[in-house]
Amino acid sequence: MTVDYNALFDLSQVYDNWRLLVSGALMTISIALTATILAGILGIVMSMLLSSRRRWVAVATRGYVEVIRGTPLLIQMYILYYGLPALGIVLSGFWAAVIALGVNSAAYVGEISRGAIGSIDRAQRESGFAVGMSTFTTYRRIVLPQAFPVALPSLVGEVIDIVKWSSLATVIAVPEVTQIVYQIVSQSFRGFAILFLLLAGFYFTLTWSLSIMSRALESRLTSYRAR
Amino acid sequence: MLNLNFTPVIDSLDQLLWAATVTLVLGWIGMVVAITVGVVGAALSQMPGRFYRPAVQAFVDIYRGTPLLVQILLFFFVPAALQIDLSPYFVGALAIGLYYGAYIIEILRGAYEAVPRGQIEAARSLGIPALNIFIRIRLPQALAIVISPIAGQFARLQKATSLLSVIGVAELTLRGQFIMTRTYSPIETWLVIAGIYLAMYLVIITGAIWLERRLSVGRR
Repeated sequence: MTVDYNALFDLSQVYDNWRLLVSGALMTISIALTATILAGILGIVMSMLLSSRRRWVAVATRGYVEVIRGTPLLIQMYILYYGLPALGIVLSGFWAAVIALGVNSAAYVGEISRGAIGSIDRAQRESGFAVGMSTFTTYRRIVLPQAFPVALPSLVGEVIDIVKWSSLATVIAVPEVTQIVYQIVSQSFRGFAILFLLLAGFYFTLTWSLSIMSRALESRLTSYRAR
Repeated sequence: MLNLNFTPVIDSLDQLLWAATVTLVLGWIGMVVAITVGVVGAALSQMPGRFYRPAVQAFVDIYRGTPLLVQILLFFFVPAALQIDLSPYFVGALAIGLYYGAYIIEILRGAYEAVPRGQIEAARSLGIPALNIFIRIRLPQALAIVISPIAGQFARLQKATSLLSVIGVAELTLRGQFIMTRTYSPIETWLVIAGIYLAMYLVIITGAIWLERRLSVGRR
């Protein structure tokens, strides 16, 4: 049997399935967006716990972070999706994916934020207190505006990772874009090459524009240093 | 509410240990590929001329900009579509190695350029031959700062071998799916498997800390 190379590049598969493909792309974006928000919120909590003055809180949080980092995301998704129903908690594939991605990323975000805040000179904080600012105001007006540009590249790296690893939701039956392409391709190889090019191109466009935006934002936020 | 029964999963322990061995071996092969890609890529990007550096950069950007799962599926489907018979074990380890190789290229490049120029110039003015400058001055310092980020990639790579279950590689995660369907105890199965992965992770991290301490003797 010979290989029909033309069939691999058959565009009709894209035309015939374009609605499915677009819905998959939107699903990927909504998983990534929801997981990013979750990672942001949990990450702030994590960074506060990690720098807690109570030693056991910091140690327990560190242990938790290592367990999250030390196990594959895929297994975490399986625990949430297949494991929790045994305990009476049923999650849809979408939420299992979002929670796994968010919790996973928060373990890294906590570390990044703590590092960035720690990199700001202590004297900055003390000066804030000295002129009578509250803790909240000191953080909002002095510490965070300086810490944020430090953390920004790593934080955007986390968002890029969330976008890429949202593709794992395929295995817990979430109809996101990788799953859609996988299903179309496994029926026949017709249009296979073009579909995979589109799929990779879709992810690349997302991650590439994220990193470009990150660089632009970073130079805006740090423009005060040049002055 | 929490009523866990690990007996059925523990009964399959021999299967789990065998699958864990497959996972470990896949991780090692993947890491050998990744380091090879990393060294070759980093060396190529130091070559003179206008071709190599942008070519390596394009490789790194494309590999890091697309999901590993998509790359694994592509590596799996391309030979199938072209009717070439390749083992998913081989294809899978290669795909994972290339992906993490792209990250290692960046790490090595950064470390190589991190050695202060003054040291290289000092060595040159002392008349030390170029090869010796590389082996005795550049390499030891670059190695010491490279250990921890490379170990981080190794830990990620080891976890990522779980994705190979999708293309039918009988490693730990795929074995877990069999055990889960047979024993009907999903939570116990996945907790045990998560524990095995965690143990592998801790070994890598501890090993890296030990190695880093040994290699940075010169800085103490």
